[in-house]
Amino acid sequence: MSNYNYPKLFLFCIGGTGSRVLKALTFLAATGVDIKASKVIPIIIDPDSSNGDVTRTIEILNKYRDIRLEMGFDKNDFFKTEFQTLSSLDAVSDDGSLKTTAQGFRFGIDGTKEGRFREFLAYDQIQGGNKALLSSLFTEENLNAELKVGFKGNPHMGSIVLNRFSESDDFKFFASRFNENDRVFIVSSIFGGTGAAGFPLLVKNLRSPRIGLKNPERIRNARIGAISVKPYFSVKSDFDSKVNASTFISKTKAALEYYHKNITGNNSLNALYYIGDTETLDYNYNEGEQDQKNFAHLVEFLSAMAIVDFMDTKDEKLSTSNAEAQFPVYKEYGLNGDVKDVTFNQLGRKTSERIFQPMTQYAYAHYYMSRNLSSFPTNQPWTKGFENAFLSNEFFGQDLKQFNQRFEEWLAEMEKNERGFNPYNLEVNGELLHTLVEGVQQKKKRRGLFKKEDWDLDDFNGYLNAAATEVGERPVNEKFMSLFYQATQTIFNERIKK
Amino acid sequence: MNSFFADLFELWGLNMSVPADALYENNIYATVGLVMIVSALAAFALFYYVLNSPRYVKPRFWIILMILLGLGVSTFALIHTYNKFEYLDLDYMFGDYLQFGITVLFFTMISFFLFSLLGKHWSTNLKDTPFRTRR
Repeated sequence: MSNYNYPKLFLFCIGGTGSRVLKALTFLAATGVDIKASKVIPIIIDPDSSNGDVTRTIEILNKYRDIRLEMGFDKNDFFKTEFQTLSSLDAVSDDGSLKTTAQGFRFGIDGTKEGRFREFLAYDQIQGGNKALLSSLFTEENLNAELKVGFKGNPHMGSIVLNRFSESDDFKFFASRFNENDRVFIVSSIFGGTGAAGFPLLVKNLRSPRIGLKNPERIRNARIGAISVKPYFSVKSDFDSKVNASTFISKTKAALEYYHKNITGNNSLNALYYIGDTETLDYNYNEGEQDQKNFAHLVEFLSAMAIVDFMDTKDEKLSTSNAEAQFPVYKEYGLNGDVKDVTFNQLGRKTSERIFQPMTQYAYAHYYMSRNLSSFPTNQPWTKGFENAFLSNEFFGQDLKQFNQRFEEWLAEMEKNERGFNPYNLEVNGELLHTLVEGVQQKKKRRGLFKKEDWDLDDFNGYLNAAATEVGERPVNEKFMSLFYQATQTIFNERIKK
Repeated sequence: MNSFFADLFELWGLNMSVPADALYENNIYATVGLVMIVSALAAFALFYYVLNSPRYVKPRFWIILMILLGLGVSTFALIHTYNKFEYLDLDYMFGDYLQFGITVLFFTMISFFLFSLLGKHWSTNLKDTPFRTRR
């Protein structure tokens, strides 16, 4: 099925966890995992304007888009899914006087770029009973908090500030571009500040769009899915810390109780996914901004798979009437075994079916590109048409190389985390390529009349040579990726597929 | 066929005046020429279409095969000629045999080179061995 037949996906990613899940989804899309969306439009909601997780995710998304521009998709599924900014929808639409103000993938919320919470509330201008009420709800520390670093585990602050987003031009623009069959997915954590506050507000604003918004009925009855991420990391106790990990569980319970009444209890969502982990790594506390860069985690990776699962659900199962889901579903993720180091063997059957082949193909392609391509092996027929200058051009030498560095960092971070996800050993040498996928015994094959043997780097060149006859001549960047896609597809089918 | 290979082996005025008549009259040119062509063809087919492995793309493997093939065919040529002349009681110097052997070696390698050049394009892994001729 062509991607163009799928609906658009508006993906709201709230807070640091939202951005990290988006990063995982971007890498999955790069490997060719079928997201079943004609376009993914990520909308990052995070007042922490220089949050390291957010900036890193945006950098990866931009690289993804640059790489994708150079590629064709008749012989290649890498980077198949299109990611667009909300503002770029403007460029392709011939309708509309509304102009989005969204800068790239980030959603603009008025009043959060500068200043403290007390200024946002106009606290100092308020008098009498109202001021006393605010004083009872917010501590001095809350009132003096800088909004540009987020809400630091204070959803009661977040709920005030984020309630503004339905009034923003970006939200109006989103509404004007929302088509009949488009879908919405919301990613947030339940134990922090930004995500816990933003998620129910966003759902409320979608199911009860305010007067004056375009396409209110479409939005009211949209197919909406969400994942609420429960605690999966911790923060070290520190006197100066504004985030106290010991409150994560109690905050989670309180939020779940609230969701029970206001989200699940009134069938607001067509599908709600829950995920979390008891194995946690303790991070040092930092005051948001560029210092907030948590290691990638298996939970984020599996949360991205919830988006894939939601998009793979048939329209009929996600029908909505009068702003209520007709058949709401609630899902939790479970592993096959409580182990500290997870490989593909511990993932569920459906998850494996969706990601094992594309991720493995991309891991092998990345292995070859990063470790064996300092220059082209000129006697290998697949290299015809490639000059060594290709290896330092903008497409390969900058965009793809940097994207793949981030991909490898992402895998390495997931491996180091607790619980660790360790699907590949990228440190194997070329003779042991058949051992790259952890926990999988690959098939041996005869080389001519000789005995059955494992495959190695020379065989990889053989698969690329065979792919070259399949791919034929085309623009060099497109040809390069198609060659690696076709070759790794054959490797998977001949050597790895069970 | 004997005449064809005689013309070939005696090309460029290679000095084989002493044994040349005997080689021609005893049909040795035809036998050796046929073995040379068949062997070169077999080696070519073996390399490009049976082995056809990305492991052998470097020119050194192709060169080694060509030299071994040349040595093999010329060794056959020498043994065959020596046995035939022994049987006929013909006596020639070692240098005469060596000259014939070197000629066979040279033409065997040429044959292998030509077969490679003409037939390598349909090989998946070795079409650019020993060098790329495609544009």
